[in-house]
Amino acid sequence: MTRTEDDLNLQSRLRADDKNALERIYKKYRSEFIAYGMRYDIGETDILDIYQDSIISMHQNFVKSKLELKTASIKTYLFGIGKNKIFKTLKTKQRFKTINDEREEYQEIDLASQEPSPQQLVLASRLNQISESCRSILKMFYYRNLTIDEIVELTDYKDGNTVRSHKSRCIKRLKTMFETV
Amino acid sequence: MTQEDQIQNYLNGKLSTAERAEFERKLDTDADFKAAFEHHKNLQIAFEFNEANELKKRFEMLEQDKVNTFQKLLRSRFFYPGIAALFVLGFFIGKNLKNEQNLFDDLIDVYPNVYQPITRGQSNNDYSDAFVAYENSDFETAEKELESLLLTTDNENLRFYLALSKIQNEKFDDALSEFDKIDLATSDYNSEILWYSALIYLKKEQNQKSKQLLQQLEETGSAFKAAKRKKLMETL
Repeated sequence: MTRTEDDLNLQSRLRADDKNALERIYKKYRSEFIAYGMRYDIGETDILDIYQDSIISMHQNFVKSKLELKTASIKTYLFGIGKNKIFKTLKTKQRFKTINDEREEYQEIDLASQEPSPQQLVLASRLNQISESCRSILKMFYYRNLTIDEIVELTDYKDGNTVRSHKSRCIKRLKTMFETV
Repeated sequence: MTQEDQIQNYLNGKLSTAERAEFERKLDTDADFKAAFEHHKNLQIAFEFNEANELKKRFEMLEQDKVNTFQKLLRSRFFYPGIAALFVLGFFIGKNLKNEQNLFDDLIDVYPNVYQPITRGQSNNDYSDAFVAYENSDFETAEKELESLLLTTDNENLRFYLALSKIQNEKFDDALSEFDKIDLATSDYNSEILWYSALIYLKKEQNQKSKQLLQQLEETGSAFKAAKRKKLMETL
């Protein structure tokens, strides 16, 4: 398998929310990213933190938006996200460091993520308490943005109507959990 | 296109510029539509938050593995008490203890001796005692024999059968340690190792880890225990 095919293959596995593929990517670029981050005078612990957050943002973007990278590779995309996060960290620490490096090959990519509201945090904890089957179907629909037809294809549900009715039962259950608080 | 389709397409970035503008106009003017969108968005953000936490934990575990490479861990005097502590903790945390134990009992079997088949009239070799015992389901003896053979020869196949004997003797942590010493990339029994390790983690109620190994096995394209794997994967 050529490198590009491997990259495309990994991309499609990320879209399918494959955590093992993500783990592979994590291990693959970890050292290189840390070396890259060191150039900005950030401690290794902070860089590792930024790396993990970048990997997570990248993964979630693949999952939620079925992202297909047109020309970039996973690596340039990941490092672009990382670079943006490094600059944000430097900014909060009021430190600016200009790097004049001809080797600089990464364009900053800003995946602005929204901090959850208190209500959304309660919802998140309720989602951890509902049944696995509910969590799984709701996750497919609301987090992965899969259509009803795609869910039928991926699961053992008989048809779209079964998915719809199960989903709405789960939403009702969630609402009841809120009411009983 | 249903309202839900529209919302999903909007969030997926699948709408054209004109459709996006129309969508946003509707958000401003139609309160019910806006409520449906907020509902979807709230769930998405809540899941995002949970998933990010899960992943963060997973990476932290990876980092820990890196610090204490497995070899170091094995030599450490804290390893076995640690595993024991995890086991006890798992015991208290796990709610489905009974289910997992039953599943394990359903799925575990005695892997056949395909490495040193014992045939009648065959002259004895160094490995005979161990494999005769193994074939006779005398796993205590098999374990002892294999352990003593491994003192003088580093043979991965023998180690594989040692781990299997330990499973039968219910020494699950020891079995895992033996499996971990075998290089999956070169072993003839890599599918088997992944499968039996997954079962041990099931027994230990570390379902996530078990699932992870099954997925790894899936990726090898191996047909070993395919039906049972499917069943277990569905349950997990």
